[in-house]
Amino acid sequence: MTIDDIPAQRPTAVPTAAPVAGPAEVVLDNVTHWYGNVVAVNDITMTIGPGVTGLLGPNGAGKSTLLHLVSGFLAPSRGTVTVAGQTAWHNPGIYKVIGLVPERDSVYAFLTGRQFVTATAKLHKLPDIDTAVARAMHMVEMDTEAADRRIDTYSKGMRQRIKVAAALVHEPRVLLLDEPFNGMDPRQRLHMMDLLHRLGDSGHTIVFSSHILEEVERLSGTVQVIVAGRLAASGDYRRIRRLMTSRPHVFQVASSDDRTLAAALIGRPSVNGVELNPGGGLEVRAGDYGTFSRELAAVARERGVRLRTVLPADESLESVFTYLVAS
Amino acid sequence: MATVFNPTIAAITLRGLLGRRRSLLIALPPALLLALTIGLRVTTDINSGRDFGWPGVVLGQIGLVTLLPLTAMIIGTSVLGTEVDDSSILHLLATPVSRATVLTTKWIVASAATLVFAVVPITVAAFIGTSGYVDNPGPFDMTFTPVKGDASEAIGVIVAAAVGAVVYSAFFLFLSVVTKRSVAVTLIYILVWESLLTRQVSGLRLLSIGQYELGLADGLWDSAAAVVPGFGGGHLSF
Repeated sequence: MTIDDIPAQRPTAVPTAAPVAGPAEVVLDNVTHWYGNVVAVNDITMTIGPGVTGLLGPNGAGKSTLLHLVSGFLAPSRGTVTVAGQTAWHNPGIYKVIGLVPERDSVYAFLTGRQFVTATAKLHKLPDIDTAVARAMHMVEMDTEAADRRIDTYSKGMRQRIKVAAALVHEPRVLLLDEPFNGMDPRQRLHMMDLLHRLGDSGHTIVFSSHILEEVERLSGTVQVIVAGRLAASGDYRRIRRLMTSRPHVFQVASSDDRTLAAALIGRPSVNGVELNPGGGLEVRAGDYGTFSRELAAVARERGVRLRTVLPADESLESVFTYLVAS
Repeated sequence: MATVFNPTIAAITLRGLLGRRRSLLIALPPALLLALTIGLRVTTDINSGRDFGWPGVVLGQIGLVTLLPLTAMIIGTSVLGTEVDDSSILHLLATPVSRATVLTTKWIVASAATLVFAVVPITVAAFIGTSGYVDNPGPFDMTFTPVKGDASEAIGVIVAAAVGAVVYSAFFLFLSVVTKRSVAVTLIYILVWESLLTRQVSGLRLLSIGQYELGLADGLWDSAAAVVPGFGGGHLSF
C-alpha cells in the first residue's frame, strides 16, 4: 500500500481529545547542552506534568534546544532528560509517547494534508490508520476539502495545523510544540489554544514554546521562563506576570511644562527618579508600572500640565527577562 | 534488529525526488548520452577501420566517469540532504522508525533511482554502441573489441556501472549526512578528486570509487576475453 491508497471517505463520528492512558512527566535533571563553545542550555532542572506548560523566553534563549533535548534529537552534554520514565536520547520508542510539532513549517509540500498525516500514521504502525487520521484531521479542523489538496497550496496557519494533526495522529501523551502560533490568524490561534486546553485538561502533557507574553498568558497556567539558556522563573503565570508589571520601568514623557511635572512626580512614591532631557521632555524611572500609570494623568491634571507623549523606553522582552533573572 | 526498508519512507522519498524539477535535471544527462550514442552510431561506420573507437570513449569517459557520478550526486544528495536542509526530516525522525532504517531506505531508493537514470541508459548505450561491432582496436587503443552481433560484450560496463551506482549512492548519502554543503563537497570530489588528482597521482586511485569501477569493468572485460573465443580484451578509455 502506498501513501496514495488512502480512502477518501471519513468516519462519521470522531472522538476528540480522548483521556490519556496515564499521565506522563517530562523531567530534566541538571541538563546542559553546548554547541561548540556556546552554552545553549545551562544547568536546567524542571519537572513538567500533565496540563499546558509554556516555555517563555526571547529568541535565542534556548527554548528550541530544550524542546529538541526533550524530543530526543539532541543529547544532553550533561544531565538527564526523561519522558514518561524513559530516556529521550537514542530511543526511537519514545515517539510512541511524544508528538512533536517543529517550528519550521517545512512539511512534504508535494503530499496532500491527508497523505502527510496518513504517512505519519503508517510510520507509527497504527492498527486503524483511517480512523486515526480522520480523528487527527477533525481535531485541527482540517477535515475539509483542504485535506485532499497539496500542502504547498496551504496557508501558513493550515500548514501549522496539519503538522499538529500529524503529531497527534498516534494519540501521544506528551505533545511538544515549538512556536506553534507563528503565522496563524487570530481565529486559528484561538482554535489552537482551545485544542491545547482540551488536550491539557484530558491529562496530556503539553509543552509549547513562545516569545510572546500574551500567548503564554492566555494558554498556560504554568510557565517556565528561559533566558540565556537558564531557567529564570518557574511556576504560576500570574505570579510571574506580577513580577513583570511591578518591575521598574523607564518612560519618556513630553508635556506642556516639563519642569513643573518633574517636581510633582518626584514627590510620588511610585517614582524613583526624574531627569530633564536636554532637548526637552522628561525621563521618568517608575518603581511600580501599575501605580505610576494611574498617577501620571492625575498629577498632570492637578498641576494643569498637558501631556503630549508618554512612551515606555524599555519594553523590550529582553529587558523584561533580564529583570526576571535579577529577581 | 532494525528493519532495512520502510515502504512509506521510500514512497515519500521517491515522490520528493521525482515530483520536482529535479527529475528533469536527472533525466537530462542520460538523454544526452543516448542521443550522442545514437548520433555517432548513425553517422559513423564502426567497422570501417577509420572510426576512432568512440564506444569506449562514450561509455567510459561519458557514461561511467561523468554521467554515473553526476547522476548519483544529484540523487544521493537529494534523498536526504534537502529534507535535512528544510528540517522536514524531523517528521520522519519523530516516529518510532529507527534512524538506521531511514538511512538504509533512502540508500536503497537512491541506488535504485541511479540504476534507472544512469545504469539503464549506459546499458542501452552499450548495446547500441557495440552490437554488430567486429574486432577493431582503433588507432588509440581505447576501444572495446566485442564479438560481432553479440551484445553481451557490454557486461563489464553494465556490472561496473551497477556496482558504482550503489557505492556512489552510499558515499554521497553519507556526505549529505555529515556536511551541510553536500552538493559542493560531492562536486569537488567528482571534478577535483576523481577527474584530476587521481589521474595525476597514481596512489590516490586507491581512494577513488570511479577507479574501482573502471577496474571492475576492465577486469570483467578481460575475464570475458579469456573464456570467449574472439573476445578481444581491450580496455576502457580513461
